[in-house]
Amino acid sequence: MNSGPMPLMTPAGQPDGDADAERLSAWLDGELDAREGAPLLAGLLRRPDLQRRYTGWCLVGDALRSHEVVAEHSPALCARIGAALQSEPELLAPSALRGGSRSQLVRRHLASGFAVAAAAAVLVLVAVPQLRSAGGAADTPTVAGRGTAPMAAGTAVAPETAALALANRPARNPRLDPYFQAHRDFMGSGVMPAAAVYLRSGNEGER
Amino acid sequence: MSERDADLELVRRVQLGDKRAFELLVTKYQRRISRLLSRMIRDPTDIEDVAQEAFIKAYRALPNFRGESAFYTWLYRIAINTAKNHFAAQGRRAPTVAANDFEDQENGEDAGRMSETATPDSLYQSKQVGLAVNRAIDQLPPDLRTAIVLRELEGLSYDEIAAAMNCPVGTVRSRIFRAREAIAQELRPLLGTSEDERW
Repeated sequence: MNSGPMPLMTPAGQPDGDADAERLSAWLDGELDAREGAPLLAGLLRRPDLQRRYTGWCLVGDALRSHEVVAEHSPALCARIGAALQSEPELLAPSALRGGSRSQLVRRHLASGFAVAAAAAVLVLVAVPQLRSAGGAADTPTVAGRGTAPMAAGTAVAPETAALALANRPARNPRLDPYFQAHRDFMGSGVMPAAAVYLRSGNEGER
Repeated sequence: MSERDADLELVRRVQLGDKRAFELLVTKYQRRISRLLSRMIRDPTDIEDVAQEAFIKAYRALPNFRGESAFYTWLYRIAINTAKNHFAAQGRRAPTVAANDFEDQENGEDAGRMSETATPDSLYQSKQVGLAVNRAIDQLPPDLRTAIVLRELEGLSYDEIAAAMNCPVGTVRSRIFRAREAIAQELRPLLGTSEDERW
């Protein structure tokens, strides 16, 4: 037993090797929460008595699951790998520094999943109904088609600015109507034909 | 938290510069990796060399490991690739039996399948270990035996074992701990590990 490190404490605050060992057994099975597991792991890394138990229990698990696997037990190989590790540099992974625990990883994945789901929901709830109804968009002009400039939702425009814009807009030239009509007909087979008609209709209304 | 999370905690420690945590992962997975390699490589010396190389490669690659798969699954693939490179370096192809058979062995379970690559020594060792494990299990009180079998062979959680055995989770934890201690005691002389030995 290493005399240096202090033993871990039982929940009651008393040093107890067997209690630590029992917790280690549970940790090995993934049955301790992270809060309880962290100090235990720190103890495992510095206490040879716990390391011996850990080694033995890993062996027991392998032995129970497969006699063939445990027959490959080679303390010499472990010692060789341990020696080879000594000449390896210590790692410092940015992901670990950022705190890459599994729960955080899961949260990150969930967040990105929600973002994708939200985008899909917007597409389904907003864009698709508009595209569906856009076949008659030229006949049923939207707000943009009623002579006001299209603007981003939620953009506040001062009344005087809007009045100025209306006063300065170019006069509509009726000779251009056939030209726009030809474009409208041509756009009927595009990737977003209905939306194109809708947009054209809105733009045309400005003139 | 799961067993996989316990491995990830060790991985994270390694990523923060603690090599001892990687030694614990070696301790845990050395036999499974050696067993895996023994199905591809005949020479026991080569098996140890390739296993060592695979673990060192894994250590060097750990900064890129983000925990999206279980650590063992990741390590297993590194070992397979290292073995293939070993064959390529010798101008030989990896045996096809290995490549095709390994998927169902990914969890380290190859129950009852003694490979063609087994040596008389490994057969003998395997048989002795089997006898010792059976003896240890037989000597356990029934409650301890049931708990350890449900955990190690059936893979049940402590909650599930508690429900199956109609006892508190704390009792399950204690029974599994005591069963492990008893079996480890029985196996220790056979596997050449003393109480004072780290590995």
